[in-house]
Amino acid sequence: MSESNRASLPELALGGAVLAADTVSEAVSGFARRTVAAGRKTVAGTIGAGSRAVTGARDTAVQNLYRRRDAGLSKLRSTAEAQLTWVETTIVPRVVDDLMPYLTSSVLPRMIDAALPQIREKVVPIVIADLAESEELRELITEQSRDVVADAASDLRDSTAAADDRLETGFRRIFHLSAAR
Amino acid sequence: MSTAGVTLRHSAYAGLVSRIGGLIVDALIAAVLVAVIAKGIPELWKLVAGELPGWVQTVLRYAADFAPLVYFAGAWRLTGETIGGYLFGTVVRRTDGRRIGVIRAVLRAFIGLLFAPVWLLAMVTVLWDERRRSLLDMAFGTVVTYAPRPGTPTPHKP
Repeated sequence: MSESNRASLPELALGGAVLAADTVSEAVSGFARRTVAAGRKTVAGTIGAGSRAVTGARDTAVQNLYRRRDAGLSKLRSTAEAQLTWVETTIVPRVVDDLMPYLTSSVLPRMIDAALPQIREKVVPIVIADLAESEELRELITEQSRDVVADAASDLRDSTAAADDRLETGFRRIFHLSAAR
Repeated sequence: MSTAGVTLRHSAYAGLVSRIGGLIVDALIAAVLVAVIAKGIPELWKLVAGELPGWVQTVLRYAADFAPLVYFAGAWRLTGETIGGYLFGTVVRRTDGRRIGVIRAVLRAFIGLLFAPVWLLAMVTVLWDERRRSLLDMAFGTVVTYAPRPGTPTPHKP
């Protein structure tokens, strides 16, 4: 080896120092990376656990809320029904009993007086017109009239036919004629 | 007795009470008919249109004279039943069961109306004749039966 290619002691020292610095730098950065990763993992786990806890708490709260609401509604209904029953059995009959004389003596006559002219003028003519134009009613009346006439004629025929026989039988008996065949 | 292939019993022929009943009703109808034609229509005409023309009077007079004849003959020819006959359920037929013809119907009605009291008294033969025929029936070859009822093949009695 030539003299010019030989490193001097300071140069060796510097090189060693540089190597050492590199080594230390790499060690420090690796330690830092590991430390950060571990920190991230810890934080993420903590956040997940917190989120789960919050969600669970929320669900429980909502369920509790619904249960309480249902219970409240049920109680409200039963209370309302009890009140209504009481009103129906106690208050309403009393009110109706008190109102009835007034209604029958004062309100109803006035209502009838007010409504009758309207009924006479507007409702009755329409009802009569409907009845008069009703084909079914007309057929019914015609059929009934026909039946009445037919029944009367049938009765008359039966009676006179019986009278025919009686008269002839009597005549034949008086004159000692043989019975007809 | 067989008429048109159907054997009729004695009780299938109409008796005296039914026949006289029908005759009374028909006589009333004929009387009303004559009164309406002879008196009612001229009076109505006078009320509506004044004096009745002579030819109308003549037509109405003849119509009134012939109305009973037309009524009886028409009813016997067309259905065998007058209105009185319908009420009392009697039908005029030939002895063989067929409906009577125009000439026979007109003659029966004409002679019957012309000598009405005689035929009325002669109806007494109904009481003993086997087919309950009056003298008028015997003269014109007719019989009077009970009208058939719905659901009964033979009139009146089995």
